[in-house]
Amino acid sequence: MNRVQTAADRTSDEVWECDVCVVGSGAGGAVLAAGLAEAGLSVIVLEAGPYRTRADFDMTEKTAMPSLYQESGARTTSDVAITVLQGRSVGGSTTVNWTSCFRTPDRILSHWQEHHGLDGLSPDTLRPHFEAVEARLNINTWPREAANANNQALFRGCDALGWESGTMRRNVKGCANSGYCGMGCPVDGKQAMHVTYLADALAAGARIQAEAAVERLEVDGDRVVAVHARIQPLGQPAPTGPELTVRAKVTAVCGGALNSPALLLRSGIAAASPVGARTFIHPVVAVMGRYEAPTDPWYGAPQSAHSHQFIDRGAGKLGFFIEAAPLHPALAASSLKTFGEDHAAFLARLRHTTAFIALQVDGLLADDVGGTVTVDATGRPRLDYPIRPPLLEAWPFTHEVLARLHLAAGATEVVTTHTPSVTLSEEAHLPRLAAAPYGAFQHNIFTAHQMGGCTMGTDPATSVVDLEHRVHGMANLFVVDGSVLPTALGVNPSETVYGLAHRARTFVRAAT
Amino acid sequence: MSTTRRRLIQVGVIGAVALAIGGVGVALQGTDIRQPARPLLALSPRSFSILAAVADRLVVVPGGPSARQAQVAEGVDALLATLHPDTTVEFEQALTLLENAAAGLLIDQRWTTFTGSPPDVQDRVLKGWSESRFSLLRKVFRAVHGLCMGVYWTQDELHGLIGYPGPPDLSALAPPEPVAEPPEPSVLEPVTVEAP
Repeated sequence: MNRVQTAADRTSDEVWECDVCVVGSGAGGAVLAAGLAEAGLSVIVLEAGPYRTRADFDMTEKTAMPSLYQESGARTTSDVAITVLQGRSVGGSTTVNWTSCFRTPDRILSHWQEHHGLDGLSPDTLRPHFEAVEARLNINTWPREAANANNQALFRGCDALGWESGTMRRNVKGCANSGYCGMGCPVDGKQAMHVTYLADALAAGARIQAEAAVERLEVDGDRVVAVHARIQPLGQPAPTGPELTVRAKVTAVCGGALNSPALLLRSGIAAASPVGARTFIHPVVAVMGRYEAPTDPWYGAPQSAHSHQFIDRGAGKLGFFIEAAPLHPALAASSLKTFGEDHAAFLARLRHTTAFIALQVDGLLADDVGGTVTVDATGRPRLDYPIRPPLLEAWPFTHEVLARLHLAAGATEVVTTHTPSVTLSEEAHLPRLAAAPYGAFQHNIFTAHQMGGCTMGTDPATSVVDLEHRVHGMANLFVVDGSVLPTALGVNPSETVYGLAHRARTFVRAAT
Repeated sequence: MSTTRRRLIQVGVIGAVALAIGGVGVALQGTDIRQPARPLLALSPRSFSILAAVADRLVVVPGGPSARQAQVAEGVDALLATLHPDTTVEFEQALTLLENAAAGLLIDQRWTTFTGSPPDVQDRVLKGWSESRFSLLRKVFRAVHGLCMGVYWTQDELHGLIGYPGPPDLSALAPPEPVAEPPEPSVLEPVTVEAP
């Protein structure tokens, strides 16, 4: 059987040929590559990140951050206001995500149809694709009674307040329930791409090259004639190794919502289209609660509960959904911006702490254009994400909701990520949150969901790819990943990307 | 100052003035140089010394090693060596601003460099920057804080201090089986919004 090739396998410049070159091995690229290889096409997958498997996953942040995340976990927006968590290894973000799976909500599909002309995407047309990926990835409901303390607190708080909540579906099989999903699954319980669809692709004859950073696409007229990559071994700050040139009948860009638009921009492709525009990130804020009983917030399935109670806040307002988040030492320590002995005292009570997060649904308001991806002088992606009035309007309310949820769940103290932190221990203290400052550098903001930048639509002036994922004006270039989403989703995006990639197999295959 | 991707020093008028004065300040007053525990990979000796002094005050853990003992600054240097060189340039600009006495006089009412200040003054400076009404200063604080805390708390030997068990014995866990249920029809149907 084929194996994933790494930097060590490439010692000189090489030129390869194939039917389809897939750039990126995450949720989009893996599902696409497997289907095409199983259909008998010759497929080459190029992945910028390293190849890491369960043997490498030692469940420590020290190992995981530099080897499995973009920029060692230090990627941010251009103004450094928002931390951007994004995977970078064979399997992409699926190697480090928390396994939360939702089909694309019906209302989002209706919104896309009404406002973005996506007539081909409906619950009925997508259903067979979701069913297929759910079967392959073993996506099933995680029982409420199995929820860890963080998620039990979320259920308990919602119940007490009469707010809606639901169980989560997860792509796991033989999950050890350890809680270390974000550092790579040590037992292959998570059905990440490197143990599922990429394994299928290899078995069907695909070639997968890790540590190959694609620098540009070479274009002749309306066709991509070559993909130019350079080897970048793990730990090297830039690609300086041998060059790899892939000449393919068809190229599919699947690098995710920042890297895919950046590659098109570096290559001067689709200049008449808004490449990089409409990038959405589900901006996240967190509020922590301290509980009398230990919560051990690092233990157990990271996410098994959610609440969409405030997903629709009315006209002109950003909605949000609520989930729990695991807390491991480095992540927790860098989140709370106190220092000295105050900070140490917070960490000393970490095992009694729980974090709730609120994810704002950006892109649905008429004037919400989100962020913009450009490239800097060296070709690296740069994400500008202005914090606009709707977010500033939403965050005080969001913090209040998360604080109420903690208190209703039994927290004895609630702590925000402001500097200095806002703390409260009863509902009478909630006005403290209204008086706190909100916005960049006032409190933590991060994103683990990146969407858009190569948005799907019918008009080349307002979108980058058509309804079959083909780049407008290009005969043999497709984009198949989360960058095609024209808005945020209001749910974790991985299953939407799996489903769309499964649907895109037909279109890419037809172009070969 | 060049325009770069990750402008830690993305300034308005106040920042520009501070930087201009800061350059003079650093030129006039030397940094207390600290020797790293191993050869530096990304940072200059001056930037390393500033970072090490900041880390000493950020990380104060009763019963735990100091930032110097835990080699926090060396760890940040190693991390920066894996990132694009522009990132180090911008990080060093931030450290320079924090260090210099002239900018300190303008911002913090101190006459000395950060590395030359006593611990209580250093703490006052850091607290002032963390809560400053100038976003530039909060930005610098958050960038340095995140890297230092991240490096310190990834060290396995510290985890016992906070009851963190570290990697579990996987064979001892008894995981539940997922339940096959149809997906919820849509979680985005409008719901009644109640003000908290």
